[in-house]
Amino acid sequence: MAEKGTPHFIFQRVTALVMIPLTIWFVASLIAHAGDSRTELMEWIAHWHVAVPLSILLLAGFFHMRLGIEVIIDDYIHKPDTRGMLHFLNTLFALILGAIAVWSVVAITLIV
Amino acid sequence: MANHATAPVSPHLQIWRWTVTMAASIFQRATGVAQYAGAILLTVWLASAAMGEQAFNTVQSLFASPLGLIILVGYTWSISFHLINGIRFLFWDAGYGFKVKTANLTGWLAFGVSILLTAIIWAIVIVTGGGN
Repeated sequence: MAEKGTPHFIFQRVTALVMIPLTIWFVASLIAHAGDSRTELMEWIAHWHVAVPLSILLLAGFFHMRLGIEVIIDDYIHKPDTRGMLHFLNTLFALILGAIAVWSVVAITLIV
Repeated sequence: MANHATAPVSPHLQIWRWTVTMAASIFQRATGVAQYAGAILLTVWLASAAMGEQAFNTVQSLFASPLGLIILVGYTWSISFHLINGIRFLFWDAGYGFKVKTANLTGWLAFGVSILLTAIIWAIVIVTGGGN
């Protein structure tokens, strides 16, 4: 990934900046909703002003996570084949998990 | 691909004396890796809510079990530390906070404040009766 260092660096920091306010908001909201039933929780998530920032947080988070693990793989795995396979699995994991998470937010919005 | 053989690699951990700046750097990585597991927890929780009452109640009761609560407290600290120390690193990227004294102080603060924040968050959850 040596040749893609600059965009990698910038994306890692842009997603970090985006997540700072969103994480504080989401964690604070979760504290307030800690005792919620499923119905109460879904009604809260279904508001556009919750579903949209939550989706942004999830997308930024999974992207940031993938970028971070990419650097760790580059640092510690020196065998090209193993490294390439781990990069593939890292991307696949972030894509699948990210899709399920964002789909869940959309599904909750549609159900309510 | 040819670049990989000559790319710099991480130094061996065991030859260094531990410092708070080094610990903060290592824990930034460790808590980042922990978010991989945390992402699974968050996704499973959201998906279970979308799937149905039974799935959601199963996940909620797993999270509320003793082991589940230990994991959630650890996840809370992991997010807190990664966020606070991450902000510290963003200041470094902007060129601030590099004096040895400042870097050491903010390193200790990242550990202290993240632990305090985790304690406050869970105190509020317990007091407001989050455990239904």
